[in-house]
Order: sequence, then structure tokens, then C-alpha cells
Amino acid sequence: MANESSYATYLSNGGRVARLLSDMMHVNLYDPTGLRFLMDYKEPAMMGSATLNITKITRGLVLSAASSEISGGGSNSIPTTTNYDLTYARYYAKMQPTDLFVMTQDGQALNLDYLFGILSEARDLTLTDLLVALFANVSGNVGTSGVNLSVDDIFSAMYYLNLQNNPAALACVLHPQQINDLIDSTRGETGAFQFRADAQGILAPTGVGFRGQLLGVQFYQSDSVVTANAGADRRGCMFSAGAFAYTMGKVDPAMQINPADIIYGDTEMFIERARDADNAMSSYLVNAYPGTAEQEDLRAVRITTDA
Amino acid sequence: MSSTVRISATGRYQRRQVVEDEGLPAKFANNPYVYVHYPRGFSFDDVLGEFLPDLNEGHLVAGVNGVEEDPRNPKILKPQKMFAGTLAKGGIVINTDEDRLGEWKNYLASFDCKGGGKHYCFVAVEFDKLPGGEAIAREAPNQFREFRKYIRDHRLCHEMSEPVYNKLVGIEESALDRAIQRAQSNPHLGKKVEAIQARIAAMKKAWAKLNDAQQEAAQPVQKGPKAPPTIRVGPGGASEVQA
Repeated sequence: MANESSYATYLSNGGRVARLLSDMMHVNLYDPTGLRFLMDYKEPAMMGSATLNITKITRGLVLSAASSEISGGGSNSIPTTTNYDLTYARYYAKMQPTDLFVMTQDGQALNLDYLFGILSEARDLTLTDLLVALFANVSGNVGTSGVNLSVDDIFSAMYYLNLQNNPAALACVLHPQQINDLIDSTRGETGAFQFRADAQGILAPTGVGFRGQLLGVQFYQSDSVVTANAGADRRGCMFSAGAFAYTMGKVDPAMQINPADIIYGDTEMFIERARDADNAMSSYLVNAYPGTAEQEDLRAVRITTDA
Repeated sequence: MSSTVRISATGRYQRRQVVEDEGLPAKFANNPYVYVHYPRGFSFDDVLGEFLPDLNEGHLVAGVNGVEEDPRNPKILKPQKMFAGTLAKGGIVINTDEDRLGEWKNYLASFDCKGGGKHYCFVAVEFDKLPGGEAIAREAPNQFREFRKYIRDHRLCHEMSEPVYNKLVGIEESALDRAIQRAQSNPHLGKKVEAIQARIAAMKKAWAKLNDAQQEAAQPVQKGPKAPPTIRVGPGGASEVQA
């Protein structure tokens, strides 16, 4: 027998190829959690400064007893004010596909539009990083270095916030390891806690981002939560609305860029194209101007536990 | 006339191995920071049996808590507003280049990461890079403990106050109450009760020692002319001088 029309023959001599690039793509694991909604939004300062100075005021004036019916005897009251700065800074990302990359993209999932999607997503991921970077600046702390997070720590954080007159709606952002420890601790709880439906619910894996509600607190998981104590611990945080604030400098790409080169644009970011004709490449750049700040220290408490 | 010449080898062949290390994986990239201490930030260290200051990381990130980039050189960060906010909350910023840090001066190490970023961490931390590229940190709990002790002993942080101590003991006593309740129906938890009791005892001992040391350090220095020493003459003419 000879001259069979085999795959191997055609592979060697033409007619078949060793590998065909699939139009399907698999996305490797990453944490796409965006947590900007946990911060207060503040309109950016656009007039003369990149820093917005925000006044904080403490209310709660109570009346003083007058000396008598016909004389006051009191002194002036003035509301206590403090302030904080919210500064935005330039953040950017750049991708530089070549003409050949674009010429060969037909029918492929990895194409120019896909790259634009990655660039657009970067805005919220950056804000998540800028939020968790604030946690270490919070002065109150619960949890013990080197000891796994437990339900007791969650109660301690709630007690701490309650003592400061925080509202009921609380959020808690923890590292995946801290979430694992919380689940482990929940499994061993006794008493009234073990019969709560939300305690059962937190045991189920739900992936990154929102993990569920426990004791009225909304739990979020993010791998951006930083280490503490020379890598021994992770530093999560429980807080109420208003603990942290953010701003996004308003961009106006039409002012400086040829409209034809604006691939995407809103008031917070834009993707622009810059052509490098000599080298047959085009750069796609995202520019955004985020800023975050701790707004009120007593609205938050760090949760520092074993990493 | 030519003759045979013996030639010796000039060296031994060694297979060349190029080890390329591009640094830590890109996800390790983070931002530099300074340690900050707040008045309530103390915890009991079971290994040393002492109270040590808890050090927070004040991250130096452009756009976070007022940290700015220098418009003339974006690589230089201006953290003055962040420092001012920290001070307003009662925090003490421990700058990396503080001379009083002694051997711990420049306590931050940096590692290169893939993609051009850097990983900043406490100077004693090291990494093992496994074949395949995964990196695992070798934490340095003992060195960090020594660092915190140094910060406390050299008064680079707040002194620990009695209300803070009372609060820390109160937390342990609450934990003890809970553990006792649980141990009533789960006798195997009795050891946890004993452990917490031992911890509370150690905390009390450590506080007594620390309180003495703090009070001694806080003694006012006597100014002005020194009072003449009192001389007591004992039997037989022996004299004793008291300052």
C-alpha cells in the first residue's frame, strides 16, 4: 500500500496545518472587583487646583439652661469644623498594537475591540486599589496580628462602629484569606448565631466581589487588600457610607485631541490614538484622574488578621 | 626544523546557564509607604510578652489622601497633605530616613516586578521564587517584632496609656467570658480558657513593667543649683553621704 491520503502526509507536505488558532478564548482568573460605589463621589475641583478642600462639620448642638428667666448667661456656640483634601492625580495605561496585529485579527476574539475593553475596565480596578490603599490610614483597629479572622472580630468591628454613632448600613472589604477564615469561624459558631440564615448563606462560595450579607453587613472580597505587619497579616476594613470619598478629574478630550483620534471618551476618561507611522504601530492610551481620601476616620475600622 | 609541542588545555568547558530573573510577578507591584503610629495602636505580643506599637502603612500613592506628584518630576511624590491629615488624627509618621531609627533606618526594601513595577515591603522580608515563576514571601516576624520594640524603646511612637491598656485587657476578658460559656458545653475548649487566662496574666505583668519604665522616663530633669548633699555621721566617725 502506498500513497494514502493521510493527515500526516498533508501535514508534512501541505494541505493540513499543525494547529489552528481557535476563535474562542479563555480568560485566566483575575479579580475584576470594582468597589468605587462604596465611596462618596465628590465633584472635582476644576478651577485653579487639582486639590479639593472639603469642609467637615460636626452637628449636634444642645441647648444650655439659661441663668434665669430674665438673663441668658450663655456663651456663643460655634459648630466644629475640620477639613480634608481630595487630590486627583494622573493615571494612565497604554497598548501599542501593530498594523500586522490588526490585519490578522479577523475572526479572532483577541482583537482591537477586546483590547479597548481591557483598557476601559482599568478605571474601576484602579479605583478599587486606591480605596484599599486608604484602609491602613484608619486609626481604629480590631483583630490580632497572626491570628485568623473570626466572627468575634466582626462583632468587635460592629461594636466599635456602633460606639461612634455609625448608621446601620455597613460594608466590609476583606482579602480572600480573611473571607476563608470568616467562613471557617462561622462553621464553628454556636448559640443563636448558628441558626441565622445569613450565617448559612456566607458558607457558600460566591466568587470574588460581593460575598453576601452577614449580620446586616455587606461583605466584599478583593485580592487588592494589602498586607500588613511585614507580610504577616492582611488589612481589611469595615465602614459605613461616607468613610471614604473619591473624585475623578473631568477630562475634556475635545480640547486637545483631534476628534478622529478619540476612540472612547466620557467625562472621567478617554482612550485616544497616537499613530507611529514610521513603525506601523498605533498607541492607544487611557488617561484618567482619580483621587481618593479618607473622609471621616470614625466611620471605619481596620480588620487586621493573619494572612 | 619543527618539533612536537605539547599543548595543555586552557580551561574546562562549562555549559553555560543563563538564569534570567525578571523579578516578582507583576501582581506584587505596590506602592511605597511610611509607617504611622496612632495613640490607640498597641497590641500584646505573646512571644516577647510585651506590648508593642501597631504600625500602620501610610501608602504614598498619587491621588490618595492628598498625595501629589511633583509637576516638574512625576517620580517625586509630595505627601505633605497626607502627613498633615495623619497628624491631625493624632498619628506619628515614622519617616524612612529618620536618623533615630539607627540600624532600622531606610526600613523599606524594594523588589523589581515584571512589567516595570516595584514591590515595597519591610526590609527583612525575602521571597522564594519557585520554578514556574510563583513567588512566596518569607515573612520576617521576628525582625519586625524587634523593629516595633525598637520604635517603642526609642520613643518614636506614642506612649501606651492606661485607658488603652484597660481596653486591650477588656477585649481579652470578653473573649474569656465567651470561651468559658462555650467550654461549659464543650469541655475540650477548656484549654482555650486556660490560654486566655494566661494571656491576661501576662498582659498585667507586662503593663506593670512598661508603666514603670514609662514613668521613670517621664521623670522631670532637675534644673537649677543642686542641693548640697546631706552628710550623716555614724558611730565611730563613719560618714554616709546622701545626694
